[in-house]
Parts: sequence; C-alpha cells; structure tokens
Amino acid sequence: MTREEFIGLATGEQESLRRFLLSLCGDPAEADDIAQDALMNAYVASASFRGAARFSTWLFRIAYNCFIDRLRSRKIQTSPLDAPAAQTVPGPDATDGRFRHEDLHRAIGRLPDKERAALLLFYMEDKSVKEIAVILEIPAGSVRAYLTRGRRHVKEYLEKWKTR
Amino acid sequence: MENEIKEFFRQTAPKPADPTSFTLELNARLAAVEQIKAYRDREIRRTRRVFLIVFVAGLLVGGALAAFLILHPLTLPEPGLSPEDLAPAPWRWAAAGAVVLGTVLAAILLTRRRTPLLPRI
Repeated sequence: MTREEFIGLATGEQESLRRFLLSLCGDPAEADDIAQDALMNAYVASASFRGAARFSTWLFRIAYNCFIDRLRSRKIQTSPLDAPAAQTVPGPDATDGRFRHEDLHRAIGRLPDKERAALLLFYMEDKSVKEIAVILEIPAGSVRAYLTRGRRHVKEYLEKWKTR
Repeated sequence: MENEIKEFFRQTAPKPADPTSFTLELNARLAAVEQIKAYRDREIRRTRRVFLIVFVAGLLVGGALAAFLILHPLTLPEPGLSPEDLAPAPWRWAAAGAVVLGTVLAAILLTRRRTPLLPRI
C-alpha cells in the first residue's frame, strides 16, 4: 500500500476514529495523539494488511490497542466527569431538551472500558457485533453481554433524565 | 427504547476539532516514517553487501592458500638441523601478512561511518 493510498483510506476513517477516541478518553488533545499513533502504527504495518477484515475494522482495532497501551502506561483519566457534580442528572428542564456531550460521560463514564467501547462502536459508529468482536478482540457473545449491560445502564440514565 | 438510545448517542457524539491540522501532522509523521524506512532498507542492503564481500574475500584467500599449500608441499626439517633451517619460509610471512591485511580491511569495511539518518542542521 503506497502512502497516497493509505492517506486516502485513512482520511475516510479519520473523523469517526477521532470521535470514537474522544468519546473514550474525553480529552481532545489526548484523543488526537492516540489517533496519530494508531495511524502511524497502521501505516508501518500496512504491508501486513491482507484485507481479511475491513480497513476500518483493522484501524479501529489498532486504535483501541493504542488507547489501552496509553491507559496502562500513562494512566490517562478516562472519565473526566467522575467528580460528584458529574454524577447528577440535569434533566430536560436544565437544557433546551436536547442532550449535551457531557451527558454521554455522565451516562457511560463509569462503565468498564470494554463495555464503554462496545456501546460507542455499536451506537455511535454503527459497527456490527462481529466487527466489535474483532476490534476489541473478544468473542461475539461477550460483545452482546456488554451491550446488554451497557444498554441497561443508559436506559436507567435516560429514565432519570426524563423524570427530572 | 432502542431508538431513544440511538438518538442519545447521536446527540451526544463529540465533534473532533478541525481536521486540517490533524492531517498536516499526520502527513509530516508519515513522511518521517518513510525516511526511517528508507534508512533501514539502505542499512540492510549495506550490511548484506559487506558480508558478501567478506565472504567472497575469505573464499578467495582461503582457496589461494590451500592451492599454494597443495602445490608447495611442506618438507619437514630433518632432526639435528641448525635453527636457521627452522626459520619460517618467506611465503609464510606473505601469508601471515595477507591474513592481517584482510582482517584490517574487513574491520574497516564493517565499522565504516554510516550515512546519517537525518541531515545535520
């Protein structure tokens, strides 16, 4: 794969990759840094990309591994809204009736990383269960279990949000 | 409820910053990776060439020495000869010199200063 071909493919995935990483770690600078690392690693390993998986799935898998490596080595703050104030649910009257980006952290910020990643990939990035299993390197059954638990969690948040 | 959850994620999706600076940085990083790759490939080729030269030189020197020994069989001195008769023959000095010279040349080739990875500023 030439550099131009790689850039062409990466450009198509750039926005969703950065959005996914930003939703995971919460810090735009950190998320972009991880995305750069992931794209560099992908470029270095592009000769080994055989096309068995979609380019997007392969890239997200590398990005998720970069995120996990960063998490282990630098202990990045994955849920910046862990402060007590962040645990409150503002409710529709506090806003114009629309959800804000902060609500996402309130709803899923305290979930385990894999569970959060599965939810984001499924609902935000429209990935299938099979693709999520490849990205997170877990069996499809575990992805379904994570989604069920995560869905219950978000549902509870939404119910609280509505009743306030 | 499924639709509500989908809508929740759609509304709360963060918007990444302007992609221009991200793309510029990515291009610069990829260019650096290419430079490193090219340097690594150059070094691999150079090391292979040095090993090939040393291997061929060893074969030639070894072959020449073996041929010389076969063509000029060694005659052992008779017991009771004077110490002058036991002195090494001139061809032995030449062979020893060739081995030393070969070793020095190989050492120079292997430790030759490499091309710098990045141009000096």
